[in-house]
Amino acid sequence: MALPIVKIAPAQPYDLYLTFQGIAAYQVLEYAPDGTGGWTLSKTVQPGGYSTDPQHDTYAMTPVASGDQRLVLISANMSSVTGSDPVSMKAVFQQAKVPIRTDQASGQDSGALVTLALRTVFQGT
Amino acid sequence: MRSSLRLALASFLPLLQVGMAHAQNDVAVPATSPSETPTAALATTALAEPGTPSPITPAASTAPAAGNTSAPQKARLDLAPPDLPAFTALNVSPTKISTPTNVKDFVAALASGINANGQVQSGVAIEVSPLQLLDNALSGTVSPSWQKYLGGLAVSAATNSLASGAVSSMQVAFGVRYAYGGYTPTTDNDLASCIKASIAFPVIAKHLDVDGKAVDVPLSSDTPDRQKARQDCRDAFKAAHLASSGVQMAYVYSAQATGSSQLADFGTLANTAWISASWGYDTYKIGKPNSPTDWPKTVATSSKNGAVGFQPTVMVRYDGMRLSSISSTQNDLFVGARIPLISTAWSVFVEGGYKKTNLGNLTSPPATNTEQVPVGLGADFRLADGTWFGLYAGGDAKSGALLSTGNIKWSLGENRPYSY
Repeated sequence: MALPIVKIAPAQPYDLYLTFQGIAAYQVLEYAPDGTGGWTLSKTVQPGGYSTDPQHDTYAMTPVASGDQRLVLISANMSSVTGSDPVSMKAVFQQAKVPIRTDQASGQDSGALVTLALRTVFQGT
Repeated sequence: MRSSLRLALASFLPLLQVGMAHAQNDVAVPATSPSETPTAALATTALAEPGTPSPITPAASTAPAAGNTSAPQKARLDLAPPDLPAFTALNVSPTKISTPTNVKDFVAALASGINANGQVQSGVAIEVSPLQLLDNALSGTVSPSWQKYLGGLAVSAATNSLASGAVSSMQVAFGVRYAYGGYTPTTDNDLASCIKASIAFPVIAKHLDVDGKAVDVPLSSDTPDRQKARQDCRDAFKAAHLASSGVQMAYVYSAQATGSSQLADFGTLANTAWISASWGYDTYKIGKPNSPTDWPKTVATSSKNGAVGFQPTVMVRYDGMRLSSISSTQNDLFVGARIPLISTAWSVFVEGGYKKTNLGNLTSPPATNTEQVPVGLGADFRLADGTWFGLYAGGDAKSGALLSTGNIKWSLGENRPYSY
């Protein structure tokens, strides 16, 4: 399945806002093209965050140079408080306070952890 | 912070279902009036013009008099203020409810209820959380203490048109509800800490394929031990919060215009107020670990056997209804109490109440005098998660025949006392 590509202003910062329904242990990672069509880890933005932590789930992403690409992977292991409720995570990317991409993934907690992942490619143009 | 606000709001919505589980679910029908609960009777009379047939069908009028009931909450004393007092007052269950989250939308929703000619429109159904309006107005900077105290406040408004023969009338109601206390698992930070201690982080993949999928490691890393540890957390916190303390209150003002829908033609129909209080005591307590990461060990080593919750609940309801034929108000009062004992697998309770209509004994008709003393006892047994078998026996002590077969009911499939 082709990854979604979002064109953004080059060399300009952009932000990620995460919200969760359920309890999440998550990571935010940036990958750069590896030259063979795949991707290689370029930066660990958040190596281990919890949705229950008191801080905002907000991150400054690395600006993307013109013509360059970065794949942003947000992966989360999730569980619900009840053990039987839906869980979900939503990611909103903003550049200059303007939403440029909103993505959401959801699953159903039935005891085992629910693993959710959001993948978006940002291209500086 | 937005997510914590949602949690704060969510904490009060299920308060009736969890913190005051029995207050919400358990209600009794006096033997002398099997077709109406005290609540249903009051709600109906609150809006029916005395002396005229009520176009509103009482919610409980179709409930069976005995045996299985699909709505057991109509068969036990209702000791909880309604979630949406305005809708309760008009006896409506709108399928579409406007829930504005900012002041602009709230004003627009209210404005949609009145046309340019000052006529009230039927079908308005609004529920709003003042905390959410405030939070949006302040860009999400409402302090946690405000969230704690304002989270349980909700305002509702509704309109409904009625037709009785050739005469139509329009009714409006404005209600406010406030709840404080109770227990909601989704807002329990300790429970969240306990569960999160058994959630492993996804494995970081150094390489992804063309589709962005990990090529060297799986993303998930759950184990049966961690799964069990999370369930231990849920079970322990459930056992420690079988009963809880809390206060709920509600007020609704309703008005009616007969043969008109002009705002200026509305007159007071009824004022209704509820206040309910519960005190909870749990025999099982969870000791707090030194470190949040020790939660799983703490709950795994503590014995939950014999955990019981004790949660006496008292409610008072007042109705003041304008009488159509005289410029006076009929005042009704209902006082009820329940004493439940709750475990994770069963619960038992006794309850009783006193209902008096026409306090002050207005002599001019159509004020009506009635007096009831509903009493009952019941039990619920957990058959499986979300499946409870309930038994209830009760009646009106004033008229006798407390345990006749007509007053024994059973139910199946309830989510109680917990919703999971």
